[in-house]
Amino acid sequence: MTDKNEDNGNPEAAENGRSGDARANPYSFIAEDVFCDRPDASNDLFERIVNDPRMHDHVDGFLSCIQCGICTSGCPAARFSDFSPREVARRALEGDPTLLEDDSLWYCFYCYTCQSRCPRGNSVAVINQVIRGMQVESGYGVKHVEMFAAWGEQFYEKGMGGTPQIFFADIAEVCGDKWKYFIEHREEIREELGLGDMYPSKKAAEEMQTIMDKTGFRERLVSIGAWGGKDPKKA
Amino acid sequence: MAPTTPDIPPVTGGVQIFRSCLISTEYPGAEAATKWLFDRFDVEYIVNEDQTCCTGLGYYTDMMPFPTTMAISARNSCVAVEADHPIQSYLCSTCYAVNKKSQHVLAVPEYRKTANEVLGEIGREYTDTVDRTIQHRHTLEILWSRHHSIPGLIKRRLDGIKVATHPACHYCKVFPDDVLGDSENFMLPEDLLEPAGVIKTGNYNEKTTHCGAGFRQMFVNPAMSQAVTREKLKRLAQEKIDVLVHMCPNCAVQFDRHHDIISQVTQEEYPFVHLHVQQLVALALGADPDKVCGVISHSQDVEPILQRIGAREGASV
Repeated sequence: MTDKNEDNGNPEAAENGRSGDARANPYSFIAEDVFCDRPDASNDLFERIVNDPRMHDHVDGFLSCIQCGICTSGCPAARFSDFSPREVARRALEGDPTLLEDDSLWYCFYCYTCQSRCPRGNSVAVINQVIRGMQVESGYGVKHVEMFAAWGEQFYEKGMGGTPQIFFADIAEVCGDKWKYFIEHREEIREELGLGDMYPSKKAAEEMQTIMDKTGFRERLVSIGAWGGKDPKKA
Repeated sequence: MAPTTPDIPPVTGGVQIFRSCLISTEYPGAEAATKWLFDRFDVEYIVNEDQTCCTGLGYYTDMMPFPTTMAISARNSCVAVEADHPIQSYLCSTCYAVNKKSQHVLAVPEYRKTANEVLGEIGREYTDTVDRTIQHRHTLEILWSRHHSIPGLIKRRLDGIKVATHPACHYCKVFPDDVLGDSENFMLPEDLLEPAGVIKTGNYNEKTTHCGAGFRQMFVNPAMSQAVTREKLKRLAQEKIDVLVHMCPNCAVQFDRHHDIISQVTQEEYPFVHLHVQQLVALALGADPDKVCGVISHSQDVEPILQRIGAREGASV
């Protein structure tokens, strides 16, 4: 700010205590982005979010986010980590490319509290799904999913999920012998309950595998380390 | 406390129990209890071996791309309609939300075309007819539609047993406008149990708080995951409940299997147990705790509750 006695040839400016430059172009202050350092916007990130099929119910809400913070007040991840749905919504609107290498998004529980309470109809839960997917595709996010690769192999082969077997030892330690007993005797227990084979039919598993192949899931599994990184259907 | 869940006409027209991977592998008694109740409520149903996993665990651990999940959901809808049992009765709230979300996306012609290009490879097509015919219902909605049958079938009173609802996020929050009742204070489970004489908890601070499972979080960030669960356990202990009733096996695994470790670490007592809603309803109607409700799969010992309600005498299978 210039000394208010200096008028820069503009006596009125001097009287009001403002520099001559500000009077000439009051918008230069905003255009120079002096409030904070921002990375260049990534239109690609913004467009990919807005055009994702999962966002089609939420685009209007996303574009009209008012940063009220209701999403964050109910968020379990925000309660216990530095993740903030409100911040993610803002950065996504701005096309902030640092979201593509942000680890805090991986704390989201996918509980949809944000989606259910947003007064506009936005969904940070869905935005997170889109960005996490982009991170996995780019390779950055593989470290967040590779621990499930073995489970993915099990799923691909049998057509059904369940608690990942690779975590059984950890779970047994936490849950104790009673759970171990149940798992070891599960088939007999199921029979006693009058339940059939829990796996889908062979035909269904084959159809499912075709779908998984045609939609890129097998390739995704290979890229995160399943089958030692070698595609089982390629020589 | 008067029931607040709105009455709905009996759900009829061919129900398919949509098998859930976590129910099948962790709490198979919830499926068996559902079938037992459906038999007594005259709900015509099938279990279809051609139905596959909804892929919820793969999708929500960010391993599976959404097009895979959506195409598999489309396939499962085709299978149910083809079998003339288009009312999917979900045992798991994640299955419910994944399939309902897929239906919403499949309503857009461009996305349906993409899914059908894949389904064409297996000789199937998600048509307008499939879309109009398929119904995605949580099992509890189907049971509620028959709740007037319950008073006449009660064999064991649950008087003095205080229950609270853990409202599954994927039922209440993904499509809150479709919830049967208030998505912010979901009462259907307690209303279903009311004729048997339970003490209802109703609303409680932390009622809408997530269970803490969070798919990947349970395995990758167990401390944070269990910190969330602890908030609920602590609050419910203050409410002095006997049973927390569940409508999703993700929540049941999180609560029931981690209840002890959280209690050990915090040195806090949470003197209650966990059951799926349909297990407790079936017990009230006289079902065998082992051969129908499969209580052996539970980590928290439900035996004291079973003793209190006389569930070990004169049980039916």
